[in-house]
Amino acid sequence: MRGMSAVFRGCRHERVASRALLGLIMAAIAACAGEHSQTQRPTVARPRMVWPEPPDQARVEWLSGFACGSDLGVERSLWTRLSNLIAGGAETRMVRPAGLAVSGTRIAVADPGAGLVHVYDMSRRRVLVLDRCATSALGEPVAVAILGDRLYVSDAGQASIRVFNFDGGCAGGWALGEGSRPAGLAADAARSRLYVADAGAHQVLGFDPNGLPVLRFGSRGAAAGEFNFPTWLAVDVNGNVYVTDALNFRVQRFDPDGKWLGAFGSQGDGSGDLARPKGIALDRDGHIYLVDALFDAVQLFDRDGRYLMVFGSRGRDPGHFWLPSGLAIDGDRIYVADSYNQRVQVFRVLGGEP
Amino acid sequence: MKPQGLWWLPVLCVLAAPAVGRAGLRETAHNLSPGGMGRRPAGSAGIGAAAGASGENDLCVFCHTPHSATSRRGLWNRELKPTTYKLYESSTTEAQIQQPNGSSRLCLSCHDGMIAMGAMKRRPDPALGRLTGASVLGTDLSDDHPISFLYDQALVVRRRGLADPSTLLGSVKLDSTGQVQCTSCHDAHMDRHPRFLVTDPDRSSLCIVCHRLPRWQESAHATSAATARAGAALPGLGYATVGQNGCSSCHRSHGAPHPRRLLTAVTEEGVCLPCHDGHVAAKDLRSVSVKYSAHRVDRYTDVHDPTENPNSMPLHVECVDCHNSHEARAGSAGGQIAGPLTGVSGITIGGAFLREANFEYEVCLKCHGITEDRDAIVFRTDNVTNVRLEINPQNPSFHPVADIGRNPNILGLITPLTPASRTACTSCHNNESTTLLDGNAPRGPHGSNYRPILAAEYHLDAITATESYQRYALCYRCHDRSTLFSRRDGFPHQLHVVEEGASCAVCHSAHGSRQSAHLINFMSRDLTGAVAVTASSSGTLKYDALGSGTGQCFLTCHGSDHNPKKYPSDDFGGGATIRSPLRRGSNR
Repeated sequence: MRGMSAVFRGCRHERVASRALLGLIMAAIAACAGEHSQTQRPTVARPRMVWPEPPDQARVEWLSGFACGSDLGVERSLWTRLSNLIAGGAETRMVRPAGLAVSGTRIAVADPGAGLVHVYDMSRRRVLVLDRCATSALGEPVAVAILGDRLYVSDAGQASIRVFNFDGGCAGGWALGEGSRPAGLAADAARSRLYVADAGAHQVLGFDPNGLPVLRFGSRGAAAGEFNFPTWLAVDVNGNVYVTDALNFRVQRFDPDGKWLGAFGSQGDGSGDLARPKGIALDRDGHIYLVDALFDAVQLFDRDGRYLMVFGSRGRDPGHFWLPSGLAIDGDRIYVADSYNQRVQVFRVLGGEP
Repeated sequence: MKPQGLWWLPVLCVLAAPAVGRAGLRETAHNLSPGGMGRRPAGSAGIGAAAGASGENDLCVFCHTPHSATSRRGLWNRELKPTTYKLYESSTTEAQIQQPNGSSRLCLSCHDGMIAMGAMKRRPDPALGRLTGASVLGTDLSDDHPISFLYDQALVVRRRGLADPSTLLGSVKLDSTGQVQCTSCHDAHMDRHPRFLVTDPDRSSLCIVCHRLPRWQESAHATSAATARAGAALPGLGYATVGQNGCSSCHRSHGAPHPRRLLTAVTEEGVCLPCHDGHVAAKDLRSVSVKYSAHRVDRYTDVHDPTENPNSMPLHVECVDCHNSHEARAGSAGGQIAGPLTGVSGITIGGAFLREANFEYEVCLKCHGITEDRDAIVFRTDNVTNVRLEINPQNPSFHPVADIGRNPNILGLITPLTPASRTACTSCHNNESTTLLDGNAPRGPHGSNYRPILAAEYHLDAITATESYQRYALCYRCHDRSTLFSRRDGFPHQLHVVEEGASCAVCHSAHGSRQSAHLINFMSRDLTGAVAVTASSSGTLKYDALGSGTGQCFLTCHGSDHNPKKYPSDDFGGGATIRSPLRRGSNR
C-alpha cells in the first residue's frame, strides 16, 4: 500500500483516506497531523532507541524525524501559505532530501528531488521554501551551508552557488567554471570561508562570503591529495577540511591552507569499510560521522580514522535509512537526510568516555 | 561468515559477463576509475589506470563492491562482531513503491546529482514555478518511470496494455526476482545505444517491448512521417519524424514535467498543442480552441483520468476526452466512427458506458448526455437539455443523429439528403471556418465564433431583425430556404419567420422534441430573458400534428392568441400581419 511507503506522513497534503494509518503511525512515532501539531502530538511511550545496544555504552540515541514543517511544529511563512493557497493548499513535503545545514534554530534542507531548499526557522516558527533566486529557478540544489546570516546553496544543475538571506531573499551567487559540478559545501565560520567540493573538476574550492576564490586544492587521481569525485565536506574546530573522496572510497583531511594531512578508509562491504560514502560531519569531540548510502547506515570513526561503531540499518522505520546522503551535526544533534524515505532523522550524541 | 577477500573479483569480471568486456566498459562514461572517461574534465587527459590502486579490475569495483577483507569490530561496539553489509539484496517482500531496491540502489547511489546526473526525479518547470499540492505529491512522488516493482501476471491483469512478462523478448530484462529495475532499460556496461539503453529507442521500440497498446502501430502518431516546420524542433528523442520519436513525443521516462503518466508538459493540452498548432501537424488547433465558443481544454488541468466513469467524473474537457492519441488515425478504423475518434470511450443513447464508442455522438454524450446543460441558452416548454434525452429515437421527433428520423416528408431537404439520411453532432457543431471553405481550418467541434460551437450562424433571439440567409445559415445548409418560404400548402413559415421575424428556434428545438412531431418544443424565454411563447387564452400550450402538411397550435406569442390556430388556413397566411409589440421593442 502506497501510504505505507514512508513513515513520516504527517504533512498536510495527506488525504483523509490515510488518516487511520496515520493514527497508527502517530502512536509509534512523533509525527504530526495538522497545523497545530504540537498540541496534537501524542505522548505514547516508545522504547528508547540507542546505539550501540547494551551492554555496550550507548553513544547515539534516536530522537525524531520530520518531512515537513508541521512535523517540527513550525508554521509556514505567510507568503508560502498564500502561495500554497493558490497552488492547492498543501504543505511542501520533502521529495528527496540531500544536503543539510543546521545552525542554532535554523535547519536548511536541500531537496534536489523537488528542485528547492526547505528552511525550517524554529525561532521564528516558520518554513521558507526557496525555489528561485530572483527569476532564476534552482536547478538541482544538492547541498547547503550556513555562514553568518547567509544561506549558500550548491546548485549542481546550474554549476553555481546561490546565496540567500533568511527572509528568503536572494543575495546573489556565482557560477563555477567549465567542467565544474558543485557538490557538498562546508562553512568555516572562524575564517569566514565557504568550501565547495567540485565533483566535476575533482577539486575543492575555498571562497570568501562574497564568492571571491581564496583557495583551491586537488586534481583527479588516486594518490594522496588527489580526488576521484570529491562530494561531501566537513570542517573541524581547527579549520581542517574533511573531504569524502567518493570513488577513491576514502576520506581525506587537509589543513586550512589545503595541505594534505591524511586519509582513511578502504572499499568493501564489511563494518568499517566504505562502499558509497556520502555526508560527513564531526561532533564536539572530533569524532567523524560518515554516511554510507549502500550500507544504509552512519559509521563513526575517531580522528585517526579508526572505526568506532555504526548506527542505522535499511528500512522505513525510525532509525532505518533508505539510501541516506547528507549529514549535519549541531551541538549534540545529528541530522541525517534519509533521502529515499523522504525525511530527515534526528539523533542525539550521548557522549561518554572514549 | 569469514571475509573472502578480493581474489575472485578478476574472475567475476571476466567470466560473469564475457560479452561486457573490460575494453567495452573502459570506453564508456561508466569507467569511473581516476583515469577513466567518467565525467573527465573537458580537455584533460586521463591519468591512466596506473594511478589507481590496482589495475584494470578497477573498472568493476565502482558498482560491484568487493567483499571485505577487513571487516572490523568497532572500538565502541565490542559486542558486535565484524559484519558484512548487504548492499542490494532484492526480495519481493521488501518492495515498496518509490523505494529503489536491487541493483537500482547501485545506480541511484551515484546518480545523486553529485557523482553523476541526478535529475532522475522531478524537476519543476521554471515557467510554472514550484509544484505543490495533492495533484503532485498526493499521488505519485516520482516523475520517473517506476522501478523496483514486480512485473508479473497479476500486474498484467490489473493494468491493461502490458505484455505478458514471460514473453518479453530480447533486450528488456527483469531482475532475478522478476522486478523491473534500471537495468531493464539501461545496460550500464554498454553505451552502444544512446543513454546506455539496451536497444535503440527509435520508433518506440524499447517501450513497446512491455507496453502493448492495441492499434498503436497503425495509429497516426506511430506512422507519422511529419517533421518540424523550419525553425521548430520536434519534441522527443531527437529523431527526424514524429513516428520515429514515437512515445517520446509525449512521454518522458525521466524527469517528466507532469509526473502522472510521465507527460512532457504540466498541462495536458501542453502536450498536444506544440505540434497541433501548425508547427508539425498541418492544422492549427491552438487558435481554434480559444474561439468565442469552444471546448476550452486550457481551462482544466489534472482532472481527466483514463479510467474515469462519465457518470461520476467531474466535468472537464481535455484533448484526450475525444481523441485517443495511441489509436487516433486519419480516415476511419473501419467502423462508423471517424478515425480521429478511434478508441475513445462513450455513452450509449440508453446511458450505458462504452469503453469504445461506435458512433461519434456517443463520444459527445459522455458529457452532454449525462446531466442537464448548465450553459443552456434558452428556456423551453419541455426544458430538458440533456442531449441524450433530446435526441432519443423514441421521441416523437428528433434530428436523425442516433437513428433515422420519423418524418418521411421533410420540407425542402437539400439533395443528396433524404429523410433516411443521418446527421452527426458535428454536422451542426463544428468550426465555422470549415464551412467557409478554409481548407486549413481544423474540422470538429473544437471551437467556433458562433455559440454553442455552431458550424454556421444561427440566431436564437425570439424575434430577430430581418430574416436573411445569414441569420439561419446553419438550418439553411440542409433545409432549402426558398422552398420553406414559397410553399403555401403547409405551415406558413413565410409569415412567421420572414414577416414576423421569429427565429426558427422559437418553435423548433433542434436536438429533438419529447412531446411533439417536427421538433416542436416552444421557446418560453429567449437568450436575452425575454418572454417568447406562452399559453393560449384557454391556458393551453401545445402543438398537434394532424397529418402530413397540417397541424394546430395552442399558444400566445407576440400578443396573438392561437386557441388553436390550424394550418393550412387562409386565416393563418395571406399577409394579414399583426405587428408585434415584442418586435417593435426589440430591434436587436
